[in-house]
Formats: sequence, C-alpha cells, structure tokens
Amino acid sequence: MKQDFRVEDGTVVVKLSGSMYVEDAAVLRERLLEFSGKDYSRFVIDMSLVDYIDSSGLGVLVAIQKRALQKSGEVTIAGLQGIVRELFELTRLNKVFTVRE
Amino acid sequence: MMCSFSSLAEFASLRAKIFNEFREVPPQAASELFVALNEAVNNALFHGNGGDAGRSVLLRIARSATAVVVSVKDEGGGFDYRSRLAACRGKGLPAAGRSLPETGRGLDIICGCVDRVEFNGPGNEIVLIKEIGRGKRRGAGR
Repeated sequence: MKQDFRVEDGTVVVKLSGSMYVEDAAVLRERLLEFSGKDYSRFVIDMSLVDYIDSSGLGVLVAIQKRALQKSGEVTIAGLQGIVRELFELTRLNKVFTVRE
Repeated sequence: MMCSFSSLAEFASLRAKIFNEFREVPPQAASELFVALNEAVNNALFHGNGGDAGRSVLLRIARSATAVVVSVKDEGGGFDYRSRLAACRGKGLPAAGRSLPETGRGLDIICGCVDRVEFNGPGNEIVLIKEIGRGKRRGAGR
C-alpha cells in the first residue's frame, strides 16, 4: 500500500492507495500517532484508491479518531467505495467518522 | 487449494495466489470472502498461535457448484466461540457509542461477509461458507 502524508492548513491529509492489510495498518498507525503526538488533531483520510481494509485498518482509524476527539479535532474519511464502504457500514463506523464523498 | 504458513510475511506472499482461487466467484462475493479469510488468518496467527512462528496455520479452500468453503486452523487451544458467535448472530454490532473499541471487530466482519460460520469443538478451526449459487442470502445470521 502507498501512504502519502501532507499537512494543509494544520490538517493532516493522508492519501492511501492499494490494499490496507494488517502490516500496512501497523505502518499507518505509527505515522498517524506521530502526527497526533505533535498535537495535530484534524485528519483527512482519502480512501478513494483503497480496495481492501479489514479490522486492523479500521482499528487504526478508530485509534486516531479517539485521540483527535480528545483534542477537539476529528477524522474525516473521504472517498469510500466498494468493499471498503461496505465494511464501514457493516461495522457502523460510518457513523463514527465524518464521511465525505 | 491447501497451504500452511507460520508468519504474516509468509501469508502475505500467498495472498495474490489465494485471491486468484476466487477468480470464478462473482467480484463482490470474492471481495467479501477474501476479507473474511484475511480476518480469520489474522486471528489464527495472532490470537490462536499467539504470534509464535513455531506454530502453523493451515488454510484450505474448496469449491462446490453453489458455495466456497474456507477453513482456517491454528495450533492454539481454541477459544469460547459460542458466546462470540451468539453475539454475532444477535442484533448485529452495537451502535457506535462513546466507548469505541479499537479491536474486536474481526469476527463480526467475518459474520457479515460470509453466509455461514462454523467452528470445530475446541475452537481452533473456523470454517467460512460463502454461497455463490442462486438465491443466496447475504450475511451470516441476518
């Protein structure tokens, strides 16, 4: 999986592409926690090019959302499609994040 | 197909070959089955075998005219799957509330992605059944 990070107006924008398996989720977790540790609390995760995610990847997004909320920020998930969208709906995590088309 | 592996790295090298086993399954069903299979394997490697590379996971995939059957067996002692499965088959996942767990969604995802989930006696083998024929219902216990 490819993971690109940039900061725009204080928001961490993450562009993911490919399949987020458990090993990719671990890498993403580390990077996002690094930003969170530097007091960033607004994240946009662009998932329009993600074709696979499972509970490990969803867990990472939940972890970062919890930290963001503690600092009055939030995680926005953008571009959900296919099986990835289906899993957000199945786990009801689409109600936990701000979801943007 | 049948294969065994002892680590995530070993399993990762097999993923493309495994997905290819589902090439004749309708795309959405194939995606769901692949998600459930990966969840089951992650559970087997990290929970069942406890990350011990000295233990193996055995994966078997069989196909009939109407279903694909995936079996994932680890070398751990199993777990109390009965209560977990009952929760799975119950009201579905709890509404997202204030307590937002970071883990524990694997089996729920499995149940949502295949038509039937079964365990062997001790609970160290999970069998996932995905119907691919006509009139299939979607999601275990729904």
